[in-house]
Order: sequence, then structure tokens, then C-alpha cells
Amino acid sequence: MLRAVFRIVLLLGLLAAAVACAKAPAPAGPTDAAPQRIVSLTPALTEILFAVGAGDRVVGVTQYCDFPPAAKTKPKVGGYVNPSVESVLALKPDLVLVSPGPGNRDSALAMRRAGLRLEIVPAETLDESLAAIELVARHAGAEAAGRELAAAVRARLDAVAKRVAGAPRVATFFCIQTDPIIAAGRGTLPSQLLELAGGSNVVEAGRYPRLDVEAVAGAKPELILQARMDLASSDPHTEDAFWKRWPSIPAVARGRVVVLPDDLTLRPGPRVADAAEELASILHGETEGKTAR
Amino acid sequence: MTVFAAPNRRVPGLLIVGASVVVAGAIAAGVGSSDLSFHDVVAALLGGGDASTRGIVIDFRLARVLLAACVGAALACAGVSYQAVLRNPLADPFILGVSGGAALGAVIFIAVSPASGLGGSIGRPAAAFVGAVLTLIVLFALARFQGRTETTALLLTGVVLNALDSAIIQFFVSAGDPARFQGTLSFLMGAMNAPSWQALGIVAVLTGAGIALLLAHAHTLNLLALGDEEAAQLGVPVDRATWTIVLAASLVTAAAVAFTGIIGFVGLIVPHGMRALFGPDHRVLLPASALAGAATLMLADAAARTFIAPSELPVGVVTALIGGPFFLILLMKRLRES
Amino acid sequence: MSATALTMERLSFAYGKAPILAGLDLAVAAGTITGILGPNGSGKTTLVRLASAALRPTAGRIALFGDDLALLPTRERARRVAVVPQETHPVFEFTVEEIVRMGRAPHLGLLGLEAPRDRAIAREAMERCEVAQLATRSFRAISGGERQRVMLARALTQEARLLLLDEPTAFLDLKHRLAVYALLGKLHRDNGLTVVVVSHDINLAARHCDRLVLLRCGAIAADGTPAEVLRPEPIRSVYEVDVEVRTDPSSGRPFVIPLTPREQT
Repeated sequence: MLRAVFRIVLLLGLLAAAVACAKAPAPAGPTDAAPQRIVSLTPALTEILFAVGAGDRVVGVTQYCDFPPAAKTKPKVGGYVNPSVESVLALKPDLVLVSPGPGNRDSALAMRRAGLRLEIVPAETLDESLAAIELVARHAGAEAAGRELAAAVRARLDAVAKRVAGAPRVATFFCIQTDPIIAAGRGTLPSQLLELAGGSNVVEAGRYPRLDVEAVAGAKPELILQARMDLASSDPHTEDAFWKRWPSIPAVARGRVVVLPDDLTLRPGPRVADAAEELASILHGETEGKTAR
Repeated sequence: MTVFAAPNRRVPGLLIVGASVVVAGAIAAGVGSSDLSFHDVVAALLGGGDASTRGIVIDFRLARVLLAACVGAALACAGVSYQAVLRNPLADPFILGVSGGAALGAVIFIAVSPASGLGGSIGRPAAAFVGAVLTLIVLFALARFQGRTETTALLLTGVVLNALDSAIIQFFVSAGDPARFQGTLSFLMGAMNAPSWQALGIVAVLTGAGIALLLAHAHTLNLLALGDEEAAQLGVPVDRATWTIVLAASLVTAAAVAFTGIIGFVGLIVPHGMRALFGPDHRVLLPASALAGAATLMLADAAARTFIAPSELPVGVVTALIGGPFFLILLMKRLRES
Repeated sequence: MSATALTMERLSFAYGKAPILAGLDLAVAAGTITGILGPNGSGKTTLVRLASAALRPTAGRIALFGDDLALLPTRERARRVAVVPQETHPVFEFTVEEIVRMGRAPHLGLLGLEAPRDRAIAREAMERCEVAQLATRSFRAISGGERQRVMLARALTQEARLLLLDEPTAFLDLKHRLAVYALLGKLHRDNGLTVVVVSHDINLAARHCDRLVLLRCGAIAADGTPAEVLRPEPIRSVYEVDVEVRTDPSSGRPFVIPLTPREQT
């Protein structure tokens, strides 16, 4: 009985090995001509494509790619957490761009295994956003436009930094959500924008730590920036009401809790300059030179 | 074991457990992620100290500690009651699907409401509570048959309801905007956010009433633990008593889950621990479990707030990390004894 | 309360479509000890379960000391009739004393707290049933015979005047079977209890019961003293076994000896 089981297991093992060794179709590599059918699986990358003039060659985006408005008219292939492999394949793209995120790894790799050209472009932090502009532009065959855009964004960022150079740093707590409290830690995009705009992040941990109110109070921030992840339906008054319960926090006592009017600071991509300018004006008052979006 | 089971040892035993509640409360109020000395804490509690310290100690720590006490007591009592009524030592407060219903209520609320603008901070707990109550109604309708309730039917229906709720929750989370459901997922893992005093009052009233009702039925729990038919022979109106107890235990659980999400293991481990010390007589087991549950969750919450300070852990993670191995040890002891 | 402990009038019961009892009439006088006999499926257990209100009849009426069983409140019924089951398996580790005290349930107040009198009654019952020395032992840890005596003690604690037993010695060895029936007889004599015991053990029932009721297919096939009921003829048509009936010299009661099974003709 045992021998029979052993034999069956051995046979199954050999079969599995054979299947594993079977050759998958080689993934497509870059060609000489600029890609004509581009799919973007990340909102930041979509923004870059449009900003460098490749927007008309985009054939598929995620349902959260809402900027620029023209992007919203493109066919949808799913969310950025769980894009649909089948929808992407059906569009027959010659280039798929993706920024690594929670949950899209398996789908992206499946697309590559199916023979599509997949280019991975990290775009989470400030530096990555700037590098992404040029990288995406190169993949899309719009190198020159990419270089120009990157330079322009850098210039605006430098201008902001120079403007706030003399002012004292504002100890700030950057809050992503209140229930439970999740903060933007050092090294994240909101934190980097904050530092650029003349603030200092009171949270020392990296990434997005979950904190209790006591920890926030202990950090004694002079300013609280409250982002809202779900803009469409969230109510700024709720966040406001939440912070008002804790007057022992210096920022609350001074009435310096600012609920951000948009989600610019959470978006990597070409609009980081807009975000930096927005933050600078919140931290240090209105200044000229704010570019219209 | 059963150190406190003898009749003359029960009251002293309860007093000791009661004292542990006070100690646990003191420890929990005394620690936190900011650098307050014990002296500062005591001063703040007595009305002195500066306003910001008072704010932290009273509005944040004390409120949380009291919430933990109420929820811990509620979950432990619910666990004891379910274990007796279902005649299953492995039953926990979530086994009949009440937690699934509460979680689903909360998720639906988040999905359809304009953030938490509707009803302020009471909106989501209210929706969770409603979800739990609706689940109870469905349970009642499905598990009754010809005026009698088989405990097996109850258990199975509960398991199915939990699975169904889980699936529907997953549906909402997958289909919906990930940003919106961030909060939900941590709620599901047990989130002991500092409650407003209004919310705390509601929790205290609901859990207090439920626990009182369960205490009044303590002797009935003893009889039900013998078996439905035997309990009936001894004069227990079994069907009505079972449903009253299930209702009280479920409401208490629903109140807890509505505000703090699903905190596991407290409702499973505390009854076992107290039964090992006090024996299975529910007239002493229930109050002992209520006290021990309060102390346990207060300490677990304190750990959640300080373990990886300044970051905080979800309380459910702490109870699982401690409760899991504890349960395995209990299990091994039992196996070795038998 | 009347002198008839238990009355069954035109009693019928069916599990779904399958009828178990059809129009059965039975009256048990107070202070007697009655044995219910019959093969499997004859309806003996159903009869006892109907008498204890564990089941509800599909037709007919049962009276408990003169009052309609269906109309008695649960606690009052528990004060009048006590049941000793075949086996009991509490899920938790109750002590013997805790189990016996649970018999006071129909008499306790709102919170179920016991008064000294309740505890004294339980103690006395344990002494009568000779299990007082097991008081602090775990119920699950004692032997089968001891457990049955504990169940008897609990039934006594209920202070019920009617005692129903469903094959109380089914899982016991010879020594304990004899002991349980002897105890039953003693309690009946000393306390004036009415006892109705369902039994598989014809001879033990014959020795201790004043009256035997023989059931077949849900109806009474024979009813009377052991000497009247235990004769080859009713036994053969009910049990389908040939027997010889002698008299037991030590008790003066009939003693049944089964012969080899009858050949089919």
C-alpha cells in the first residue's frame, strides 16, 4: 500500500517538474519605435504620460487615474491594488507601466509571463517621482519632453526651498487618517514635501506608523496637517472635530489644524511641485509664484 | 488547581480577583507612549497638574482603560455563557456570528455613508450594533424548529453566518476604494481608540445591563450545562432560558464589537482560567470572569500602547499573541490529564 | 393532590408518521413501585418521557397527582416528578455535591442561591444514598454505580413524590445493579415515594416491584402483580422467547429462565 502511494507521488512529482520546465513565451523587450499602445497601472505614471505628451497613445488606465481629466476617458483595467490581467491583455498593449505597490505584483508578473512588455518604475518618494518622469518618458519615446518636465519641476522645488530657507522650521504632524491614527513617517512622500516646504516631521519612525493620541501629544507638534484619503465623500468637519478633543496638543490649542483641501501631497508624480508650493503657503503664509494647476 | 472552588474560599478568591482589577487599572493608567511619571499621573487624576497632562491622563488613558474594562468584562462573561449554553468549552463570544454581523454593519456603513459624517462618531458603532442584532434575528429564525432549539443547529448556523459575513465584507473591501476601507480592516483586528465620554457611557450601560442579566441566570447556566433534557426535568424553561442567555450574551458582545472591533481570545481564555481556579459553578464563575476579563484587557491594552511605542499595536494582536500559546498550554495540560 | 400519582388517558404519541403509543390507558397509585417492561420499540422509554413532559403527546391526557401535566408550570412539575436518566455527562467538572444540590433548583429563589436548609436536604439525600463520602469528588471521576446513586440522591433532593427511572442499571455490573434496586426499594419504603422504573432486567424488576406493566408495540399486553404477569404465555407473545418461570425462594417472587429460542415452524 505504502509503495503504491510512493510511486504515485513520484510520478506526480515528475509531471510537475516537466510542466515547470516547459518554456514560457519570452517576454517582449524594447523595440526601436515608440510604443503606440500604452497601459498604465499606476495613477502617478498616468499623470507623467499625459504631461510628456504621450497621452493620446495611452489605451488603458486604472479606475483611480483621475488626472488629468482626459485620463478619465480612457478604458479602465481595474484598481491599482488589483488590476485585471485579462482586461490588459485584451487591449493588446506594446508597453505596460507599473509602480510596485501592495497587491499588484502578481498581476503585473502575470502580464509579463503572458508576453507583454512590462516596465517597472518606482514612484513613491520625492526622488523617485523625479526619476520616474524621465524614466517613463524614455520608455514612451518622449525623452526630450521628459527631461524638460523634470527640469521644470526641479526648478520649482528649488524655488520653494529657497523661499523658506530663512524661516524657522515648523514642527508638524502629518496625519493620513484619524481612525486609527496613521501618520506619514520620515522618508515618505508627504514627509519629504513637508521638509522641503520648511517643516520638520515630529514623527521619527519611517513609513506609515500607527500611533495613539498620547504619542502625538508627546511629540508636541505646532501644526497638524490632515490629509483625507477618500476626498469624494469625506467630511473635513469630522477630522476637525476629532482633533478638537485633544486641546493638550499645541497645534490644536493654537487652532493650527489644517485639513488639506486636496490630495496633492499624497500623489507622487509631476504635481509634487504644486504640493510643495501648497504646503509652503500653509506653513509660511501666502507667497507669489504659485502656479495654477 | 481549583484553589478557590471550596465554598468558604469563593469570596476571598473573588476579592483577590477584584484587587487584581484595581492593580491592572493602575498599571494601565500609569503607562503610555509619552513620558509621564507615575507622580504626574496621580496628580492629574486628582485634579492637579497642568491641563495638557490632565488631558492625556483623563481624556485619553483613563477613558481607554475604562473602555477596556467594560469590553473585557463583557467578552469574558459572554464567553462563559456561550460555553455553558452550547455545552462546548471551545465556544467564544463570536461563534454564533454576532461579530460577523457587527463587522458587516460597520463595513456597509462605511461603504454607503459620507465618511463618518452621518451621526458623528456614534454612526459606525450604531450600524455595527444593528448588524449584530439583525444577525441574532436571522439566527433565531433559522435555528428554531418546532419550538425547540437544538444547540447543534445554533452552532452550525452561527458558523455559516460568520462565513457569509466574512465573504460579503471581503466583497466590499475588494470592490470598493482601498482608501476608504483602511480603517475597517484595522477595526476588524481590534481597535481600542480612546472613546468619547458619551460613547463610554453607552458601552458601560449596555455591557452592565447585559452582564447583570447573565449574572441573574448563573444558576440556570449550571443546569443547562447538564443537558437540555435534564435541565428541563429540573424545572428550567429550557427554550426561553437559552434564548434569554444567548440574547444577553450576544448583545453584550455586540456592544463590545461595535466600539472596539473583534478582540479575540479574551472570551475564550478567561473563562477557562477562571474555571480552573473557581470550578464550574457559574454563580461564582461569572463574576470572577467579568473581573478577570476586565483586568486582562486593561493590561493587554497597556501592552498594545507601549510594546512598540510610539507606534501602537492593534489590541487584537496582543490578545492573540498571548492567548494563543496560553490556550495551547491549557490544551496540553488537559490531554495529559485525561 | 389525589392518591393516584400518574394517570394516562387515551395517550397517543408518534414520531412524525411512525406511531409509538396508540390510545394507552394507565393509572399508577401513589406509594407504589411499578416496573415497565417490554422489548425494544415497545414504547417504554416514550411512556416515561411523556410522563416527565420531555415529550408532548399527540393525543390524550396525562395527570400528575390529579393535575393536568400540560397545564402545570415547569417548576411545579419539577417539584412533583423527578427523573433519573440512564446516563449523564455534564460538560464541566462539577463535584458530586454540586450535582446533588442542583436538585434543589425547582425550590430556589430568583438568583439560585442556596439556603442552609437546601444544603442540609442535599446532605441528607447523599447520606441516604450512601454517597456522602464522595461529596468533593469530581462527578466524572467516580464509577458508574456511584454515579447512579448520586443521580438518585439528586432526585431525592428535588423532594418530588414521583420518581421516574429509565433503565437505571443499563450500564452497571451485577453488584451495582443489585445495589441500585435495593436502594430504590428502601427509598420507596422509607419515604413513601411512588416509583415507576423502566427495566430490561425482568427478574430484578420482579423482585422489587409491586406491579408490572408489560408493553408490546405501544399497547399494554399484561398488567398486574409479578406473579400474574410473568408467565410463559404473555412473555412468549411479547418477547418471542420461551421461558420457564420458577419462584425465587429468597424473595417469594417469580424468577424467569429463558429457554433456547423457538424454532420457526
